[in-house]
Amino acid sequence: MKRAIILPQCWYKEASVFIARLNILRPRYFLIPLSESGAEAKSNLPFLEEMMAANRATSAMFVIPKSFASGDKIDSWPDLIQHHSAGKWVCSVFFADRWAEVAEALEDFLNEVNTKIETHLTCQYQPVYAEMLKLWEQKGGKAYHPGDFFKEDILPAISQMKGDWVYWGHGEGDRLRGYGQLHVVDLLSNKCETPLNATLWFTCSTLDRDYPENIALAWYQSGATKCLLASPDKVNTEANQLLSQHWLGMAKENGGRTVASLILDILQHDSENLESVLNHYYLLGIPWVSGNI
Amino acid sequence: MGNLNDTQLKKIQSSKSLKTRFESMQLFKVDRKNIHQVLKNSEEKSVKDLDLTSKAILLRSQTGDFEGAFELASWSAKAKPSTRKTVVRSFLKNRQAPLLVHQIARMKRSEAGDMMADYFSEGGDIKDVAEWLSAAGKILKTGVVPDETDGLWGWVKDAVGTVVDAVVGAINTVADAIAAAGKNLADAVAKVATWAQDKISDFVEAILAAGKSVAQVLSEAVKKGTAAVNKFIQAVIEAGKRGLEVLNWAIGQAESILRTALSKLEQLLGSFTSLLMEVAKMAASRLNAIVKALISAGKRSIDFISRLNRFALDFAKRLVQELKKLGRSLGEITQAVINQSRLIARVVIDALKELGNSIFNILRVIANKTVQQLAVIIGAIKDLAISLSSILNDIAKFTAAQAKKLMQALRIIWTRMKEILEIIAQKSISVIRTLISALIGTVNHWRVVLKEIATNVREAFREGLIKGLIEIGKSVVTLMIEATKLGGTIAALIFAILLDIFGSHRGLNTSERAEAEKVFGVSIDLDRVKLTDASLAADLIMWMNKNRPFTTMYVINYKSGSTLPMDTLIHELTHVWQAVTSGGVYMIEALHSQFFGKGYNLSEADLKKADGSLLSLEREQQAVVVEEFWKAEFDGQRTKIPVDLLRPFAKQVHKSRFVIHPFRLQDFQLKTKLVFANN
Repeated sequence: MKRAIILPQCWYKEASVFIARLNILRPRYFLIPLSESGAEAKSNLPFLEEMMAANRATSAMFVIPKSFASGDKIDSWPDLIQHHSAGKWVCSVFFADRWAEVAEALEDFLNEVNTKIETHLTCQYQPVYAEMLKLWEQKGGKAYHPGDFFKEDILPAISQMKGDWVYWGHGEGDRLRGYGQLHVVDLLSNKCETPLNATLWFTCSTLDRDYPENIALAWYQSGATKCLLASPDKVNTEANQLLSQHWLGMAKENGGRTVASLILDILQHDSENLESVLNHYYLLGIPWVSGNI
Repeated sequence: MGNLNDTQLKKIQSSKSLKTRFESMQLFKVDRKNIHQVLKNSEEKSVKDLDLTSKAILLRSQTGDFEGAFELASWSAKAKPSTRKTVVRSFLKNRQAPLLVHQIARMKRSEAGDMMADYFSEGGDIKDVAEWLSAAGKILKTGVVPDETDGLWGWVKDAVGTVVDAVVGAINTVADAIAAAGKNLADAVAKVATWAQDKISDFVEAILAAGKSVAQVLSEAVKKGTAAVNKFIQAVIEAGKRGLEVLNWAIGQAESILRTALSKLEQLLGSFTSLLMEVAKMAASRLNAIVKALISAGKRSIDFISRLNRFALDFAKRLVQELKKLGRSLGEITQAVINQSRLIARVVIDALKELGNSIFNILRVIANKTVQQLAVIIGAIKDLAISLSSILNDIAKFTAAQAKKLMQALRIIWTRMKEILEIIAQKSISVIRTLISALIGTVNHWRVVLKEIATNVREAFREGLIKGLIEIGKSVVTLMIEATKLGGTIAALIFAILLDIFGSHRGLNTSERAEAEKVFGVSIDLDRVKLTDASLAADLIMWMNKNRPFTTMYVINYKSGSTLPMDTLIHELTHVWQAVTSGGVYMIEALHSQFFGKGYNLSEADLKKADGSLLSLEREQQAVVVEEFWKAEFDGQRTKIPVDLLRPFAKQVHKSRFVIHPFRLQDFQLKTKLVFANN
């Protein structure tokens, strides 16, 4: 499964050197340079699709300028689920103004010692969410039940989390509504000491377009997590439940999944329903972090 | 830790009555910061003392200081089990159970569970839990903390930005605690069944937020009877649950309960239509029981049918079919369609048809309705792509009066009479008879139908229809009289049809025409000449004799089965010429030449006597002159009278085509031939 990094053409040379080194052991990564837009610029899409299809790539990290890391720019971001002639691929968004920023993130990610990913489960105190928490807990996750953790308990717990953080419940542009409401400032004050592998917020609106610095962007940009799944839209609770169940099912299967490959595997189960749910979401950061729990 | 010194603590402990304990605590400003000191001190002294302190704290809560009670409960939750039980007992003995529940709601899950277990083991009633849930539900419903709570829920406002999230969390804490204590929250339903509706609604709001399903709530309510079911249905609807959820529960209950649920839902949803809209969302297999219960509750077929246009076709049809399956008669169902829209009628008829009911049977039960009402039904039948022919077949099965009414309705839908007539024409004669009668009943005078047959109906269908008219008693003469009133062209056409009905007729063939032209030139319009072997009734002949001019003068009748010799044809054409020239008085002779077929003797003396005028001869003699002339002049026969004698007479029936020949002026030979008068 080849992995694409979509980047501006002007970075291509220095990025090539980096990627060549990366591919010495296992040729897995490739670059798709896109010409900078200008008056004569043609659409990059045919070229992009052609490159993804030619390399039979199933995932890509689309590097876009940091100025696009804003709620009101979300509609310019690429969708999570993409298509080319050979099938579907998963696309994440990575904000960087220099190649060095991308290289640094990839370096950190690749140098990480593979340890078992711990999955920290949180939710709002309502039966429908508590049931999901319990379900994941039964599969090995660590639950922070809202009946056991009040706001003053959960914030320090979050700061100590390593691995994945999952949340179910209501969300808004500036807060998660569980645990007596966790606001942006609460989270940033209790940022994880070690960047999380992934943050999965199965909730509505944490990427709310009306908030330039919404809670999801703030959390991701703070460096608290290498990868973040979040939605700018209202997502139906039942749809989220369905997605969560499938996500859990895949994450528990053997096979060294990445978040990107896990999403693709989910789509193979119920493409019609789950693609529409997944396309409410965006994936920020590195899509190749571990997807297993 | 607290800020009370030993002396103060001893002073408090030395107060033995509730009043003095309360006052001493007030005196030393016992509050959240130091209450644990007082409680610890009491716990160490005795159960009795702890009970007294607890009572004093709870007394303070009656003055609006609920934080003391919360601290009491929180402290005891972390204390020894025996201490916790003592505190719980104090709450219960002081009738402060709801307050304890309220404090439990603010605890962490494990402490809340232990405390709730003690609550029940010490005699706490789930009804008091329900009281608290009702208060919580009210906040959920309104989104605001009511003023009359005297600060009890103040912590909700203080704790979070959104009241609802906090209250939902609190409710779930209590619900989980009840479950941890081995109790079922649903049991509370039965305990509160006698409450007023508003309070029940608030309670239900809370327990639904705690994850109880509509079915769980209602299944408990039903144990308390119909009144309770009604209240709880109202409560779940007010809590935003869909009527469908109530229906899905009710369908599994006894029919009386289902009936109750349906009635209540109708009331709550505002109309029977809204109720049916919920029913429409249910699985098809459940429809039968619902419709049965609705009928049992007094709903009539019309109540369903009048609303069918609000639903998808499939559901609407199923609804009608369930009515039928449940024993509603075809009559009742079909009658219910009367005065409804054509769309509704279409749905009902379609549904009934699928159940094997014929269109005839459907029409039969409504045949007594007005024409306009029937027209809606006929229109619906048309919409179902049932052919006009099929509908006419059904109409033909009715009595004359009913068929007439149905035909009137039919004509409102099929406005072109031609269409109807052409279909009728293809039926058997008995069907035509009924339908023509019915059709005539729809117009002011049957002449309208006759005109339509002659002018618009295609040729192939006309004869059958004219036969139909004759079958229903229109005599041939009457037909011709009415046809004549409609003008010469129509009369000719109808007459030709009559000729065909009573025999056959044809025009002149090429050789006949050629011979005729030799004799008559253009004096007779040979295109109009018809040869027929029809045997016409005497009254028709009588009528034709009296009615001139009439196109039948061009008709030559001859015996059926025989061929018409050319000389006879010329003879008969002379009669036509006579008729055209002199009028219809000759018609009877022309049509019934057999009366005159023996011929008159014609002698040279007769010709002399006529003095060169053909018309001076008897009319049959005239014909003989022309016939004989043709034989001699054009057929090479020898005749008794020389052709030269016949020719001047026979030429009188000939008229040349007017031909203009070009000429030059000298042709007139003006100089030699012209004589001027004044010369």
